[in-house]
Parts: sequence; structure tokens; C-alpha cells
Amino acid sequence: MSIDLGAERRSDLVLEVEDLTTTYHSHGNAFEAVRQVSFDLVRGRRYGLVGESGSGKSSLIRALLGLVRIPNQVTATTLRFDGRIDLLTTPAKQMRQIRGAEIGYVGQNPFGALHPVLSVGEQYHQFLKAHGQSRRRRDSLARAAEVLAGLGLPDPPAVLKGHAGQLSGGMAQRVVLGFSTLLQPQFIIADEPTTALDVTVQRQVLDLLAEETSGGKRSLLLVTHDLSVVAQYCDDVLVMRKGRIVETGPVRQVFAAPHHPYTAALLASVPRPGTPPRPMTRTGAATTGTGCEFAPLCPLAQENCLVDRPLLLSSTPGRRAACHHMPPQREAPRPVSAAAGPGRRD
Amino acid sequence: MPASLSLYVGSTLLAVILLAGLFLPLRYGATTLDTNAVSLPPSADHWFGTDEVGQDMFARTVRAARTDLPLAIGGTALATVLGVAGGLAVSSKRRWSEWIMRGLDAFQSLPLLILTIALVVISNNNIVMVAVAVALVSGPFYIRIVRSQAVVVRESRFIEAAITSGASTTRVMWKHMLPNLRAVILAQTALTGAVALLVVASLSFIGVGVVPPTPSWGAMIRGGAGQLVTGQWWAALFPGLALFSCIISFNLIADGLRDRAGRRRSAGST
Amino acid sequence: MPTLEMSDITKTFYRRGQPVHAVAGATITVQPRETVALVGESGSGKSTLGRLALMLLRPDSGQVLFEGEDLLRMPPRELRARRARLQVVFQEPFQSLDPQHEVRDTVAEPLVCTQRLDKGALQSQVDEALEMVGLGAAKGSRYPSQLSGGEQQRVGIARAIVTRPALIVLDEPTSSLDLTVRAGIVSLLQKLQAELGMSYLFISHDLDTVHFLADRVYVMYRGQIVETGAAADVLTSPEHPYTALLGAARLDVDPEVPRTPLPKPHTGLSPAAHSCPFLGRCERSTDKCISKPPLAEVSPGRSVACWYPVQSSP
Repeated sequence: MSIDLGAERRSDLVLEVEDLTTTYHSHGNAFEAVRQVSFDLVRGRRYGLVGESGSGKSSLIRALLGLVRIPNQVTATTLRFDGRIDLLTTPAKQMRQIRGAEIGYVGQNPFGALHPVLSVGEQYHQFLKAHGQSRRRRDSLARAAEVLAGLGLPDPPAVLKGHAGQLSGGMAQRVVLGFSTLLQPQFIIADEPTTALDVTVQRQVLDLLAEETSGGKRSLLLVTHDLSVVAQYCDDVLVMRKGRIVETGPVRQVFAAPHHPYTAALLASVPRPGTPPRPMTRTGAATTGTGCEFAPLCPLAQENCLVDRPLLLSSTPGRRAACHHMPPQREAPRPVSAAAGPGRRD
Repeated sequence: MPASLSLYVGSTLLAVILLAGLFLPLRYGATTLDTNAVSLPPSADHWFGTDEVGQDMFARTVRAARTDLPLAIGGTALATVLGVAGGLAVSSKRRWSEWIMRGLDAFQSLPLLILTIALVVISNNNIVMVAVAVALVSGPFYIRIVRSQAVVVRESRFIEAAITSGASTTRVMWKHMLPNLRAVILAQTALTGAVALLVVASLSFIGVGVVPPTPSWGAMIRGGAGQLVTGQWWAALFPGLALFSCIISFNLIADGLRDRAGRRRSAGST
Repeated sequence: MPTLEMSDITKTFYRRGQPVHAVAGATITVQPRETVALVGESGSGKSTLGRLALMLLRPDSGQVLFEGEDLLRMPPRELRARRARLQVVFQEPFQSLDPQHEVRDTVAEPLVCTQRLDKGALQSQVDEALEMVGLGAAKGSRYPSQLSGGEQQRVGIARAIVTRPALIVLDEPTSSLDLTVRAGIVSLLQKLQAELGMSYLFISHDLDTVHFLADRVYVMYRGQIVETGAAADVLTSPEHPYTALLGAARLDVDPEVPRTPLPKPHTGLSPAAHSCPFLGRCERSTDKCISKPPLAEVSPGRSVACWYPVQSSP
């Protein structure tokens, strides 16, 4: 059940993040979208990053991809990819090579990611050329056709000749998925990849994403607001709220018995046949700036919650929660990686 | 320049010029000829100098605001009515609105300034026709601007919500369309003011509309331009500066209004 | 007498000259105090049907009876007055509120447009509606941009209930809201129906919420009703292969519940004007499906447009 972190080699971690903060500046105001976030992602596992709007999940992704631009800034004590690349200090030019080749990315809107005028094939060629993988268009198209066929697109040559505007949402998202898997990156970040799609298409795209990241070699960070997607496709979950991670752990354990009351409230909000969704209720407790941000909505809030913000600490082996009321400790608290527990699922 | 500053500077400058034109007491009359003081350079007595028939340039430059600005403002008002009503009317998806837009294209491809010259001349230099001329030149632009915004607002969910609330077409127009177009209308009105002033000046420059001895910046620039070569620079410079200041003011006001509207929209989209 | 009766509705749009049959012969009824769901994916025509019910669009053919009266033949002035009984809550809470108006004025609009009330009565009814949706009269003087998404949607709901309508069309009222906010809106809608007794026409693609909220459901595909019946029956034991596909595509929030594998479509056939619309995506299709199956009753209150219903034929 528990895993010994001491024995874990550095190379087992695809991503190490410590104390990451993203600050946005506008009109002279500074706003921390991501606040002192720390987590590690183990190679070969699928992670679900859940949060509601304003949780900072998209800002975190932008920071990981090196897409936060001046005057906004990212600070972190560690932001290391694959145990060797410091994403914080990597120059923009090199980051462009890393994105695509080492870190694949799938966004929410496939049509925003595709060029409206260039043919799909030309875009694949440009992509391969930019990464120094192909010089001849014919080679690029052959490789692209292979990938698209693998993603279940009917008639890849026709798709490659056509333009983004001729594709349906599901097909376009598969074309984007093709870019993020073409160079076999070891880490794929998918930010709400199916939010804009219909349920039946969502299943197809998610199944493909799961297939691409099966086998224990590639890691997936799937950002979503949909708990069902995390439940069905991820090994571990990270729950964010107001710029902080409030709970992490293996999906099965967290969903069966959440340690943070916010996670519990999220799960209770999901409509399920037979059980009515339970909305959160405001308790009226007022916090000071140093208190737990969830206290005003928390059924468990006590005096110390209002003044003392709980840190994200190990609650049970392999799990962490930022709550003063998390279940009694079975062992001494120590920081534990977000990743833990066997029982990965395909 | 920040929106509030450009609004402030623009409207103050315009108000000063207009109020001076209307109320500033002057030592010399604007149309008083003085054969003893022909083509004098600026001095303590004649601040802006005198022209070739001995009229005081300061008095004429200040008083020209009395005719030029009201004409421009009247023309702008006419263009605003035309633009807002027309723009709203053609924002519907009906087929005839498409026809009107094509008609507008054709109309705008005509040499409008020449058309307006003809119009004013045929009406026997009727001053009111100058305002009509202004509306003809700037009205089509106005209609386009209002239409492009109105099409967006009309498709909004809150317009549908108003209709399902039982609002009549008139109510939708007055309570929902116009308030949401206000920023565009204000900015376009200020911009039209600048164009209007230019049209009025252009007409009087070629001797149409406001004609001497009634002071008008356009006619004064025309008169002064001929004297530039003989070294009397002041006769064209001061009316030119006055015209320039007014146009800059209108543009500053338009910029300020537009910036303010932009800020409100982005604040609302969160 | 049904609250809403729409019969044989068709509506065709033209996109770049090409006809798009958004609604192709749909018939639905909504009884008093009933919640009826329209379910389908994007392009199924469910939203168009909702807008037709609201008379925001006029159908090309068909009949719309609201509380027994023909809305299509009603003079405009009478129709405007009748709108007090027929309200809507849209998907996008912010876009459905006029940014230039205070919340109070937005909520008052249906009253102002359809009833003659003095200032005091208007004020008290608006305040009451705001209280009922859990906003409190104090929020009345705010502008939409000063409210959260959930609060904005509550304003939209207050506007819909202020005239005590017989029917509210709920066009995906929770889709653009956060999960925790969504639960609050769903239970509010339920509470209001219990208190005020109106009918809901609930347009949604979220089967779980539909299952929870709706009494009856119509499943739409390509502008046609392919299945209808009691919500619990249709969603737990679907008859139409498309309903079954929607159910299979649904993801359970319990990690222990395995995913239902998606059926593989029987390819080689593609839908035409007179064929079953689901042809080509269906695993059960045969040559017979080249002719369109009628919406036929398979059990009391349960109809399906399929030659090979899932439960009734092996």
C-alpha cells in the first residue's frame, strides 16, 4: 500500500514542483493565481487536476509549460522536468523544443490550436520541421497519416489535405491529440480536452488519451472540472481551490473517503441517480487573512481554522490534505509525494 | 493619455473656444474695416494682427466660433439622428436592410464633398444647407458604426430575455439597445463633430456657405493663404490654429469616451 | 389540458444556402406541474425546439398550443401579455442580464411589461422574488458584473418566477456553472417548483441531472424525437440505440464502477432524408433502417422510433 519515498529514484519523477507561485500583474494590482504549490508526478501515472473556476488550475498549467509572460511571473524553489530540465530557467527557444517533443499539450479548444488557413498536413509538416524531425513534406505526411490512423480517424490522407474548418469538434481534437503524441513525449498535459465536446465524442477522445498513456511509460496530467472524468481515467487526483492544492492522493482512496471537506463537498455536488446533489452552505464564519480559505463554507470549521491556515501535509500514507481536521494520523506527519499507491488502472 | 484626462482637456478647450466666441468682449468689431491698419503684424493693439482690409484678426478668429461651431454642432446633431435611427433600423436581419446597406455603399462611392458644394450653391448659399451637407457626408459612416454594434447587441441573450419578458420592440430599443450602444454613440458623435467642422471649413474655404464678411475659419485661412507668399503669415496661422484646436478637442473627447467604454466592457466580462 | 403542446414542428435554417433541418417533425407535450426534459447532443435541435416554444423563433410548420391557445395565431400585443405565463432561464447567466440595468430592474421587467402595478406592489413582488431565489433584496441594487456566476443565474431565475408563470423553459441552466454552484441551482429549481407549481421544460445534455430532476424525457437526434417516456425508464432501460449510446458514454463518478464500452457502429450505411437518422452510427441497423421508423408506442407512455428497440427485440 504505502511506498517508500526514500527508495524512489529521482528519474522516477517526471515532474517535481516545489513552492510554485504565479503572480499576475494588471493595472498596478498583483494577484496570486497559484500559491505555493508543491507536488511531484511519478512517471507512468495519470493524474487528474480538479478545481472550479478561479482555482488556478489553468494558471498552473501555463506555468508548467513556460507560457507565463512578463509582467506576470512564476517563482518556485523547484520546477524540474524529468529530473534534468529546470523549466523555470530554460530559455524560451529551448522551451519551444521541449513543448511538443517532451511535453505534449492538448487544450480545450481544438480549433484555437489549429491554423485556419494552412492544411492539416502542412501543419504537421511544419511541426516536424520545427522539431528537426523531418525535412521532406512527403515523409511528414506519411508519419502524420500513421498517427491519425492510430487515433481512429477515417481516411487520414483526406484529413491531411483538408483544413481545420472542415473537421467536426471530435475530429479536430483528435488531430490536436495527434500533435501531442507524434513525437512520443513522455509527459502529456491535457487542459479540459473534452469540455467543448459532446458526451459520446468525449468518451472516444478520453479513451484515446488513456490508450496513449497506458503502459506505464508516459505520464498524463489531465486538468478538468469533471470529477467523473478523473474517477474513470486517472490514477491520482490533485484538488485545487483558490490557487492552492488542498488534497492529493490515489483516486480510489480519495473518492471513497475524502480527507478535505472541500473534496467531500465537490463529490456531494455531483448529481447521481437516486441521490440529490448536496449544495454547499455558508456557515457565516469570517476568516482573517491567515485563516483557512475554505472555513466560511466548511461544516467542520473551528476557531483555529479561522486564524491558522492548515498546510498540505500527509494525512495517511500516500495522501495529503490541507485540513486541521483530517483523519487521525496513523504515522508521524511528513511531506509525501502526491503520487503513491499501486493499483493503477487502464 | 488616460481617458479621463483626454476627456477633460478636450471638452475644456472646446468650451473655452465656444464661450469666447459667444461672450468675450472685444476691442474691435469682427467686421469693422480700418483702412489705416491694413496687414499689420501681431502687436499689443492687434494681438493676431490685421488682414488686408484692416479687420482685426483676433476679433475675427474669436467670433468665427459663433458661426462655425454651431453649424458643425447642428450638422453633427443631424448626423447623429440619422446615424442612430438608420443604424438601428438596418441592424435587423431583414432583406431590405441588406438593400439599404448596398445603397449606402453606392452613395458613399459618390464624391460627397462635391455633391454638398452643389447642394449649398443650388440652395442659394442657405446656411442651414451646410448643416445638411455635414449630415450627408458623415451620416453614412455613422450608420455603419451604429449598425456594426447594434447587430452584436441585438443578438445578445439579454435581448431575447427582454422579449420573453414581454417587452415590445419600442421598449427593447429604448431600454436595452440604446443604453448598450451609448458609448459607441457618444464617441462617434464627438468624432463626427471633428469631421463636421472640417466640412464647414472646407466649404467656406472655397467660398460656399459662410461667406465674408461673416467671419469663418475656412474663409480666413483661404484669404490668409494668399498672403503667405508676401510674408503676412499671421492672417492664415491664427484661424488655422483655432480650427486645429477644435478638431483636436473633438478627437480627444472621442478617444476618452471610447476608452471609458472599453474599460467598462472588460470589467463586465469577468 | 396540457400546459404546452407542440405538434409536428419543423424548422429549417439555411447555412450558406444549405438547408439544416434543425427540427424535423417533433411533437412534445408538457403537463401542469411536470418537468419534461429534452435530451440530446449539440445539433440535435433541442435548443431550437425550446426557442420555438418561447416564440423566439417561428416554426416553418406545426402548431404551438400554450394553455390551450394557439401562440402562432395570437396578435403580437396579446402574445406579449401572455409571456407572463411563459418564461425562460438561459444557459449563460451573465449574457442573459442587461449589463446596463440594476438587478432590481431586470427582475421587474416581466412585471412592468405584462402587468399594471403601482410602484409599491412592483417593489414588493421583486423583493419577494429575490428572497425566494436566496439573493436577498440588498443585491437588487447591484449590477450583473458585480455578482458571481451563481448569483447571476439566481437573478435570471428570479426574473423567470416573478410573474408566477405556468411554464419555464430551462435552457441548460447549469451547464456553465461550477459544480458546487450547480448543485445549489438544481435544488433551488426543485424547491421553487414545489412552492409555485409551474412546469419545467428542461433542456440538457447532462443525463444525471435529468434523471434527478425530470418526470418525463424526450430524446432528440438530428431534429427528431427518437424516444420518450418516464425519465427513470428511459435512462435506466433505454429502447433506442442512441439513448443507449448516451447512457454508455456517461461516466460514473465512482471509480469502482467500470466504464461501459461504447458499441461499435455498423458502418457502410449513411443516413438519408427518409432513412432512420441514426443510421451509420447504429450497431443494430439493417437494410430495413433505410426507411424511417415511426415513433411508436412500445408500452404505455413509452414510445421509440426504432425498428429494433433494445429491450423489446434481442
